[in-house]
Amino acid sequence: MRTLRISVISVLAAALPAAYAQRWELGAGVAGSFYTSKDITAAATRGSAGFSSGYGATAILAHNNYRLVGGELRYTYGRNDLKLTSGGTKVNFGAQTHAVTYEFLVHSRPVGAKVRPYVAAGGGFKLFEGTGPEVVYQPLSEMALLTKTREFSGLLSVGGGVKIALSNRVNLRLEFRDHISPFPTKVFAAVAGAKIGRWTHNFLPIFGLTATF
Amino acid sequence: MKSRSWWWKIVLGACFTVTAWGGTFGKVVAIGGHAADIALDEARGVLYVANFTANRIEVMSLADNSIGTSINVAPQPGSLALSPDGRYLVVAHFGNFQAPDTPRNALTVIDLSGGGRQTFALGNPPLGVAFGLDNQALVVTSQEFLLFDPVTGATRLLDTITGVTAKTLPQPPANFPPQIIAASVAVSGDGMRIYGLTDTLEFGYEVASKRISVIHYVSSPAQGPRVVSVNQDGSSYLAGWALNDTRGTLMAQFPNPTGALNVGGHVIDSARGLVYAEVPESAPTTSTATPPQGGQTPSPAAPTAQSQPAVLQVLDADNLTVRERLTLPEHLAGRGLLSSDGGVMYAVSDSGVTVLPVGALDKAHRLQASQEDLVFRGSFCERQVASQEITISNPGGGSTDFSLTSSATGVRVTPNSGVTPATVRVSVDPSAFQNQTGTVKAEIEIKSQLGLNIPAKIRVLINLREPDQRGTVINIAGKLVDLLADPVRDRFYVLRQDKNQVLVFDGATYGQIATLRTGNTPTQMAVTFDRRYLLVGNNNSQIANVYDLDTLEPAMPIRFPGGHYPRSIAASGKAILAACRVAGPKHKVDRVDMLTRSAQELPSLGIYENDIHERSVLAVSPNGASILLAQPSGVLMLYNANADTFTLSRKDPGIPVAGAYAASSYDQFVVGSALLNASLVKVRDLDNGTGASSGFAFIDQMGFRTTASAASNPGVIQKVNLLSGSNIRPTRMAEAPLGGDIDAPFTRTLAPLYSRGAIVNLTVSGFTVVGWNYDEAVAPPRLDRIVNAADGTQPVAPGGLINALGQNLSPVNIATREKPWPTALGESCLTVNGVAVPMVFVSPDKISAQLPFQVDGNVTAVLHTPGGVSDNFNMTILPAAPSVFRNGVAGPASDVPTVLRQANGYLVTPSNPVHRGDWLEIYLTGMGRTSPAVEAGMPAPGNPPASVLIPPDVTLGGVGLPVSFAGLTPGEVGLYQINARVPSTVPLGMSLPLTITQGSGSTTIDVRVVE
Repeated sequence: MRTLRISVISVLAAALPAAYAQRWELGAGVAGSFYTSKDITAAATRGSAGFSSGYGATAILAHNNYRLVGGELRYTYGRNDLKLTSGGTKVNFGAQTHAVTYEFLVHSRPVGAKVRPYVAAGGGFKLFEGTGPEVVYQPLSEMALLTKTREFSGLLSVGGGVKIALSNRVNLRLEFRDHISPFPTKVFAAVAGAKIGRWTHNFLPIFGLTATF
Repeated sequence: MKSRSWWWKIVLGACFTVTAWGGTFGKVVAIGGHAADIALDEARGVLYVANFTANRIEVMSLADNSIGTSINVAPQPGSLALSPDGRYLVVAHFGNFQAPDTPRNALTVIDLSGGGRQTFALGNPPLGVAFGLDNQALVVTSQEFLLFDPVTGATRLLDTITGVTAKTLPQPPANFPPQIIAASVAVSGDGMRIYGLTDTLEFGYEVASKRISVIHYVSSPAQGPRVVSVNQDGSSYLAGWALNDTRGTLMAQFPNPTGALNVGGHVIDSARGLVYAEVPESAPTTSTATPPQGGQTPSPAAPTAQSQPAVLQVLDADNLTVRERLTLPEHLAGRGLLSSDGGVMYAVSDSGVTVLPVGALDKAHRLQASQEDLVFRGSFCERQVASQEITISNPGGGSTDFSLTSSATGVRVTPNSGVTPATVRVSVDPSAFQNQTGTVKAEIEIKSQLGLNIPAKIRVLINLREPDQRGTVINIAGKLVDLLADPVRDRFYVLRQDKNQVLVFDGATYGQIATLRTGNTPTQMAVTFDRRYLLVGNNNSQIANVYDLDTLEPAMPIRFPGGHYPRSIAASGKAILAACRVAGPKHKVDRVDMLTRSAQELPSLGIYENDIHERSVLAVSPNGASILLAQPSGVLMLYNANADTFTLSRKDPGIPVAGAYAASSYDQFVVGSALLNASLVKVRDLDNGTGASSGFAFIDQMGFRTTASAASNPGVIQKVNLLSGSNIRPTRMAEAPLGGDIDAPFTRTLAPLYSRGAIVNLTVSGFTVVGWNYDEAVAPPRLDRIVNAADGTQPVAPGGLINALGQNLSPVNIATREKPWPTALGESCLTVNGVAVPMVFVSPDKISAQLPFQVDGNVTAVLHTPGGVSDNFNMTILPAAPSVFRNGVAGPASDVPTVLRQANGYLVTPSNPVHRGDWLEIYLTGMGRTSPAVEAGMPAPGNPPASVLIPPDVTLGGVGLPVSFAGLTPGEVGLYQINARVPSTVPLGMSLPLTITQGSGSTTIDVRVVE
């Protein structure tokens, strides 16, 4: 909880200057959602832990108060099942994530250009939530337990994209993000003695539309 | 739609007002004449009643069941039909007067919409009329089938009829329309098929093709009541007392009908799969004389139906299994019709019409007992008064008065009257039965002033065995008539005749694993030689049922020739034969073709006539080489599979005409107490000193045999040396094997199981399992440890479930499903300080039981078995010793603690962890005495539940859990339950201690807790 509060405060603090900007963008997009898998070892057993490929959605509030530099507050929803595989056995368990980030954007073209490529970096927090049905016995439970519970963690976000002005007020966005966060160890509870990789990457190709005002 | 539901409720209300006072079901509407037929016109809210003698059609309102108007018509309206479009009512007048009077046979068409009426003269007396969906009426006269168009008045001849003689008028007094017209015609619910019945023929008419098929039949007694009812799609119909399918095969019939034409009626409720019927049954025959050779369909009996009480039966529509019997205010007397919503049955009855609210039976006053049988098994350990509780209830949930009467002086019921729902206690005083060492049967009769139904009597079975009596008795209610062990599977089959069922039991646990529905009154079973199918012959169906033994699913039945009832079946390596009761002068052996699922009457039995006794039985040798045919007439016959014909027939003096029958693979046979050689010549008499023969089975070159001197005495099982005929070590059984009766003089009551682990016997109160080596000397028992049954640790408490571990604790493995648990099981009997301990499972090295509630402190346990009495085993019983069961299963783990999350009803495991805010159910034992007190072995009460006297403390991770209930689980024996809530303050973790502390006892298990 302490980590969560700090993250929220930092995101809000970063967003404050935007409140005084003259140009705002508000929009939404859809995303693919892909994670890297981590190795897991328990006794003599090896496996792979991670998330199935999924999809997501995002909402954006951005400001452009400098010529090349901007910032944006973003909420991203992701739907990826937890996944555990070892040998020929595979276990899936429903899960979803909620991420809130603030990113600084550095554009290669000034405000008003028709096409504005940019790079982005920032941070925020992420809520992992196991949603699958709980059963008496879960295969591969000697390695890890996929659990119906919630878990917060901080995240780093890096990426880039291009904004294409479709009109005076509408922009098309083609973006990519990498949300880097600690591997969720409560939702994905490794049993005693099991070892699992520490970080996970969530790759998000995003297609969105924003309106400026 | 709205108005219909309104009048329906009025009808129900009116009916129940009457039934509530009279204790009979339905309301009678008198019409002042003899009703001959009815037609239901729901669109107009009326029922038309043909008043045969008053020459009018009574119009009865469905709203208040009153006769508002009457339509005067030509003389003798005998049958009615309403056109599907509801416009025309056709009335057939049976005016078959003889000279000097003039015949007045006619047909009247009443235009119910336009008000017109037209009468057409007929040359022959009309027997019945019914409309098909095409709005054309099929009119059946004594000479022809006519198709009548009510719009044009045109009549078309479809076919002629031969062999039907119509009665003439006038008739002697006290003859009724069904006896005079003696015919009935009815249409299916979809209007596509019409069926009819006369004295000599049945016919079916397909409306679409306008094709008529006629079957001439013989029947004894007559096909009464003379009424036809058809189901919704015309795939089956009831004609008199017989249920036929569309091919005319008799699928089931009412057993032992009187055949009276004018008493009874029925209707098929296709939506519910039921038949509502009154078909009076002849008084049961009590004679024990062997019936004469030759017979007809049901056993002939005097038609005394009118003098019997009027009873409506509710039956299954496929095999006529009786579900319920209801008292009627008067006899039905012809057609029954069901309202389109299935709510109300209208039936012709003695006074006119009876209105029966069958759709609201659930709300009527009825009674039922919670058990069919009450079994009291005393033991040599205990001779105290035993008692059990049963519940008398109204299935619909209402309050109904009742009184209970016991047939035996030693059986007491308290209270013996009351109002439902009520729990009554049945007590048996062993001193009243102290001279009985078999099973004594008594009955408790249930009566009521308000109750409409006739509940079955409760059978009370009292068994007080001596230490030398062998076998474990498993109770099965009902009439059991045959027993067969599967030749290649470790299971056995029991035929329950009163419910038309095959009960399938596992040969290892003796638990029932399946129930198979048969035809009506199943009599004998057989397994095909390829071991794939079980065949069941029926005394009141002209089919043999077939079941796939791998799936235990029914397969296509075998249809027998018309009039052939396959009572006994045997499958040799070559042929499958069936001994059939036949509606005719001679009974026959048929040969079955499994490929076509049909049977053919054999033209002869080798060089002998195919003319057998009605109650003959067949027995096949296990190697499939021969089939023995044993007859109560004393005639024996033998089919040889190699010659594929009957090669022997003899009738020698001294051949028994009842008792056991069996065939061996070594050309030996047994009939009664006679051992026969390959030529069916008696080679010796088996000793009859132990009573009448009941069961026999050949095993290798030896035999097992059971006998009984009386049903209430212990039976005797013995091995038989087939060379010398001598009996080896006759041993008393816990109760007597079943004997034959006049309907089934030959009995098959003994079945050695395929596994050769035990021998099963059909006995008085179900079946009795005897160990394969029942007669061997048994070593004395030895008790090594007594632990609680939950986690196997030493602390035990009063009322707790325990496991007694040791050696030679029982000669057999046996578990019981009886409640209360018996104090003698599998020939073992355990006492603690002299108090008998109820047991649920016994085996040579383990006994599972419940400690009595009234003993604690330092106690002594002693075990009695056929091998003797164990040494004293001293132990301590604590006031409370809680321990959670560890028999939950989670994947490969089988020792999971029995803690359930109420949220999903699953066991708590690492993958189904405890969440904050959850409610938990913890199942355990050893929590001691309760309030209210419960007797050991008895199921725990539910209202109020039995709470423990010493309250438990439950903590999780050191945080206390509020407990809402701690006590015995209702309906279970010795099983305790704690319901507790998990507060939001409990810590989280992969393995946190869940601790239950009660008095000085405590137990801990680890569970995972998450957010």
